Amino acid sequence: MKHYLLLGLAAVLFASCEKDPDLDALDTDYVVYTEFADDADFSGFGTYYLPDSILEPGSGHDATYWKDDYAQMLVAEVAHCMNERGYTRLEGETAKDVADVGLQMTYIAQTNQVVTGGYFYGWWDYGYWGPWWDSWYYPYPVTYTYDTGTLIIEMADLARGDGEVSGRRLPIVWYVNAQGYSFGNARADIDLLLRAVDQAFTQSPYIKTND
Amino acid sequence: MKRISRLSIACLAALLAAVMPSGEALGQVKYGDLHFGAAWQMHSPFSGDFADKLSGWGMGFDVAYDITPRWTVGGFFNFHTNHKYVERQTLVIGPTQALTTDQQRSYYQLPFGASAGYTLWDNAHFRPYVGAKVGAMYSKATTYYGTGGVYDKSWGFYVSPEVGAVIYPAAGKRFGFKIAGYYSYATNQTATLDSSIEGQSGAGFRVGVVF
Repeated sequence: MKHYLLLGLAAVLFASCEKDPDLDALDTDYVVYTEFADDADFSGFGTYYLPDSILEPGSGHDATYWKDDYAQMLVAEVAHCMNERGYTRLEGETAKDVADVGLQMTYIAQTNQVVTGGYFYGWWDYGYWGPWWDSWYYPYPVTYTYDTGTLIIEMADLARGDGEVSGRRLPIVWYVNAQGYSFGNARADIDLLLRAVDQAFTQSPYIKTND
Repeated sequence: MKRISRLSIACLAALLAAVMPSGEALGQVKYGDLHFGAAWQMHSPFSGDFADKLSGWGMGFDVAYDITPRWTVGGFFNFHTNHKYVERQTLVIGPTQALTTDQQRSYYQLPFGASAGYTLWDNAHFRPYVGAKVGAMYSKATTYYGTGGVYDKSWGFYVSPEVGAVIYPAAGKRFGFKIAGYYSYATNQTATLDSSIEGQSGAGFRVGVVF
C-alpha cells in the first residue's frame, strides 16, 4: 500500500507541471490600447492645444513635468499625427481657451519587484552536478525587478466642458494607454514610445477632420 | 481535422479487429490483477485556434483492474500544455475599444476520472485494446501579452475513446510498453482577450510503460 501511495504522490506532483510558454517570443513593442467616446464628433473639431511637456505623476499629489529633448520628440510626434489628420495646433497664452480639444500626455515609470517562492528553474543543466540532482531550489526567496513604462494620451473636448455635459468636468473623448517594458536605454525606450504614438493614431482612424 | 482523426481511429480499430484471431487466447491475464501505467503524451487541440500547436508537454497516468480476461476498469489522470504564438495585430475588443499587441497563448488541461478497456487479442507479447475514459477536466487558458496577461479557468465533462496496444517483452511478466492513440472532447468553456473556447476537442498519442 505504501508503494501505491508513493506512486500516487509522484503522479500528483507530475500533474502540477504546467509548461510555461516562451515569453521571450513576445516582441518588445508597447501594447497600445485606445478607446473613444461614441458620442464624440471628431470631424467637428478643427483646432487643438498640446502642452510642450509631459506630466510625470509622483507620490500623492506631487507631479513633475518631463521637458527634455526626448519629451519634445514625443510631443512633436503627437502634433505631427494630429496635423496629418487635418487638425491645427494653437499655441500661445490664449490657445487653450479657444481650441476645440486639448491633448494631455502622461508618462508613468514603474519598477516592479517580484519575490519568488524560493524555487527557480535556473540555467545550469540539472545533471551538471551529478545525475541524482533533478532540480534546483533556493532556501530563501529570490527577488528580481523589472521596469515598465506607460504613456497615456487623453483628448479632452474643451467645447463641452463648460457645464454642457456634467458640471465643469471635461469629457475625455479619446484615451490612449501604451504600456511596455523599459530597457534603461533612453534612445531605445523613446523609439518604442514613438512607435506606440504612431500605432495609437493608426488604430484610431476616426481621429480626423472634415478638411 | 476532426473527421480525419475519427477516421484514423476507426481504421486502426478495424485493422486490429482484422488481425485478431477468432478464438479466445487470453491466458496471460489473471482475474484481479492491478496494473499501473505512466506515459509521455503528444497532444493537439483542434477546436478553435486558441492554442492548436502540437506539443509533447504532457503525461498520462492510469491504473487498471482486470475484472475479466478481456475487460478492465480503472482510473486515470493526465495533463497537457499547448502553446501558440500570435503575431502583433490590432484587436477590436469592444465597440469603441482597440488593442494592438502580440500574444503568447497557453492552454493547460488536466482531465481525470474512470476508464474501461476491452482487450482485443492477447498472445502473451502483444495485447491490443480499445477503451474509453470518462470524467471531469480542469483547464486554464492564458493569454500573455505586454508585461502581463489574462487567464480563465474552467471545469467541464471529459470523454476520450482510445485504441492502443501493450507490448510485453517477456511473457508472463508485469512490465510492458504501451502505445495508444486517442481522441478527446471536453465541455470546458474559457475566454481570454479576443479568444473564446466552447468545448475543447483534440487528439494525440501516448507512449509509456505498464507494470
